[in-house]
Amino acid sequence: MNQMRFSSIALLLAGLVAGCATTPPPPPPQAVSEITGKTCTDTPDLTKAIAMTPKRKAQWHAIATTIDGMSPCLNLDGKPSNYVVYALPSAPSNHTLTIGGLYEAFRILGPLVTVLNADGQPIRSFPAERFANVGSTFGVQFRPSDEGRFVLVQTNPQTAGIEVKAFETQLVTQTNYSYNPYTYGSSSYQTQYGREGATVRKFSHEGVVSVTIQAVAGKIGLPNEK
Amino acid sequence: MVLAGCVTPYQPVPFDRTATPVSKIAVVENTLPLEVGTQKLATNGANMMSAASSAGLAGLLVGAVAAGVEAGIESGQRERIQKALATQNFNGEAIFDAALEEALKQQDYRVSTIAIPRSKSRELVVVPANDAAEPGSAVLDTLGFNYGYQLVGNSTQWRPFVTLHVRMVDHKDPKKILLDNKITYNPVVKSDVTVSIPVDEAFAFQKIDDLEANPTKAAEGLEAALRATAKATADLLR
Repeated sequence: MNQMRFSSIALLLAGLVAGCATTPPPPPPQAVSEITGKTCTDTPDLTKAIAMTPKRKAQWHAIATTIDGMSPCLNLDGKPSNYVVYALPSAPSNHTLTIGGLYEAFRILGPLVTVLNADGQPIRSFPAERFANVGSTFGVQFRPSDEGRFVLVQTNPQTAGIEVKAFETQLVTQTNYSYNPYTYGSSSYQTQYGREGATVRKFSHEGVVSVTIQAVAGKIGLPNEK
Repeated sequence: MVLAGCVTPYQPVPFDRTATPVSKIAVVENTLPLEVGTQKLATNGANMMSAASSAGLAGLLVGAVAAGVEAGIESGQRERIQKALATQNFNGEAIFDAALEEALKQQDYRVSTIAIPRSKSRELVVVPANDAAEPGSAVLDTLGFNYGYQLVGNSTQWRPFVTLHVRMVDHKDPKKILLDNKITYNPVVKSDVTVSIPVDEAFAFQKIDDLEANPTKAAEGLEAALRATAKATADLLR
């Protein structure tokens, strides 16, 4: 009897411990160097273009689009390349765009950026030397011409899998709390510390496309708006 | 916080060489600060000040003293770094100018220099309109806010840094801004829409004593930083 009671307590305890255990978050995704098992098209599907114009009037708008195994792909010189198309706001030349692959823990979407006209024909592309680290994006910054209607972002089969090594310095801010004798309450203050270390990422066919749109005058798509 | 919400975010002006054919660039002279600087972030003094200020007036006083002591320490460290670099005849301006000229020439620009007095230090020059300027000529200002060695908290090492604001305007009509951007070598925070360059990890010093013991390496590290920043500037003009 005693033995039974003991085992039921043990079971209960085990259950409680299991109940408290939290599932660790999944590890950050790794780079994808090759696209396999996909049927790609020769031209991008413009009907699925993501609007760069935000629903609410704004001067600044940021979009992050995940490119994964389900994303459509294009044939690029005989090699598959995942892609996403964005529709430019009206008065395209009134916008500064920063477009590229977002820095993630282990990967950066390796981007190729092309501006397309209303017929889907390429009117501007950017050589490798024009790409830079802009904010947390590896990409290009430009103002499209008024003939531009779409921006095609596709993954670069030439760079996929290539390592990007960088030594990074970070300033980390944390909030602390202390008892304040003047207010008889708790008050918060911030302290900072530094962190540095070597990072290794790879250019990837999957990841996140980061787009930042800034209106030069007025709002996005509304140059005369105040 | 309310104020921060109202501030207009920085808007860069990307250069489009096809739409704006520039062939001749006059680079503004004397763009870097006269002396090599230091930058200390997340120091004990700053953290003490923040903690103390949460404890009312008396705390503020303690904090101010802590910050003052910290500033005194940094001033001494800056002098030691400057002296170490002086033994190598280090000339940051000359290194940056030469690297920028070389990079621009590689991109088929005709490069010259132009002396325009900077009315306010750490502000971009006001370029006077030049009616005689030939079509396709521009003036490029590469204003260095600060450059030298930085230490972020106590868990990092002294490493080179450069912060730059670049602007290119049409020489005939300087109201036409052809390029505007900010470049940071070894940034501690990656600002949206501005250019950042990761530091070359080979050049690091645990203490100022280590930097003084190897001034050649200290000069090489800062030279690498200035060259990379000059190249990044030229890359914006491709």
